Amino acid sequence: MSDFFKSSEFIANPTKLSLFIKDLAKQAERQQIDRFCGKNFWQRNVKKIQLIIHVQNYRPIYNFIINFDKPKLTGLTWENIKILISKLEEIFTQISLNNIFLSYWLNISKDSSCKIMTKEEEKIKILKDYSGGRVSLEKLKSKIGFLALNPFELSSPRYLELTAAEIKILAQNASKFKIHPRPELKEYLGRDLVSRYIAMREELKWLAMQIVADLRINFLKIAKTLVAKKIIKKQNDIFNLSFQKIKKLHNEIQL
Amino acid sequence: MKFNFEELINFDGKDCEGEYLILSNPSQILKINKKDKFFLLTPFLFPDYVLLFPKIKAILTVEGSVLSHLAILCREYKIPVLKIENILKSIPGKGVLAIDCKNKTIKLNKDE
Repeated sequence: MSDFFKSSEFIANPTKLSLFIKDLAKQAERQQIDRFCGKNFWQRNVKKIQLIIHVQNYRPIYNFIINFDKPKLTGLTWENIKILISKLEEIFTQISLNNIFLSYWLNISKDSSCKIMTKEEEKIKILKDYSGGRVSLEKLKSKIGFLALNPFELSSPRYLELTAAEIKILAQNASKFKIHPRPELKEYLGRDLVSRYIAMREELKWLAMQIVADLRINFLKIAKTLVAKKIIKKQNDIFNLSFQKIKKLHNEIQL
Repeated sequence: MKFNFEELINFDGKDCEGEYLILSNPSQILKINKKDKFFLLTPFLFPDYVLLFPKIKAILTVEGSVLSHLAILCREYKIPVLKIENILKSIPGKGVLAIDCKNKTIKLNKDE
């Protein structure tokens, strides 16, 4: 299996609230593993054949990426959170599926190099452009404002919230980076499925980060109400509450 | 202190030494104020560390595999990644280390 959900690379030092994101990811991963890994001899063989059939076709995951629309949010915070969670579940399902397919091809090819420019490099490129004065701070924030250091952690401030000085530190690091030119996923015409699945994993993570950024906005709105009602002292304290606790508070006081 | 390592992304075979820095969370990137290249010690291969590539000699990690996205990028950009169990348990936050490629060992704070 690919490492993304397995290890703590997913979220470093998660707060109590962010643990529910980790749980969503684990559930999605479990479902996909059950789909392709059987428990007894016959199941194992049948599911392996199913895997071999599915793994050839990267299109369904690719189509999910290119047709992805950010969910339309209502004015109601809790409704928004429900919509965003459901969208996040969809993306995590695709990431888990992608991880299984990636592992399959890596076992065959033994080559984990990526011939496609990934989203991490796209981020570096935008920061580099900002550092070189080719992109304004506003443009940078409109393109990658949803990103964060430790992005799946809800308490991590997004680039949108960072000060110009903090963005400058990131940009200065990026400015010395020599990006190896390679095609983007949409332009790639090669047949290397390892590269495709690596690049698609990163594209899917990028989509998930956009949803997590929206979740953060909505949880902070709830936090504002909780501060006003003196349930928590400051907005960031919401990240020390569990998702269940916030849900319970919502039911009690209709946030 | 000596530690054995496993190469996730190959070292070029040359012994080297230099300062190391421990980062346990990617948010610490904003606080790094180093001009010289250093060895990054970390519990996990967080993808955000790609921002530090121009400053890194090698990454020494406790967990992670060649499938981690950071490891994939390290291969592309020729940054060695070494996996070392228990290294973060008993060492100071910063110091000097020396890599012995032949014996696959790392010596920390060699002047002590």
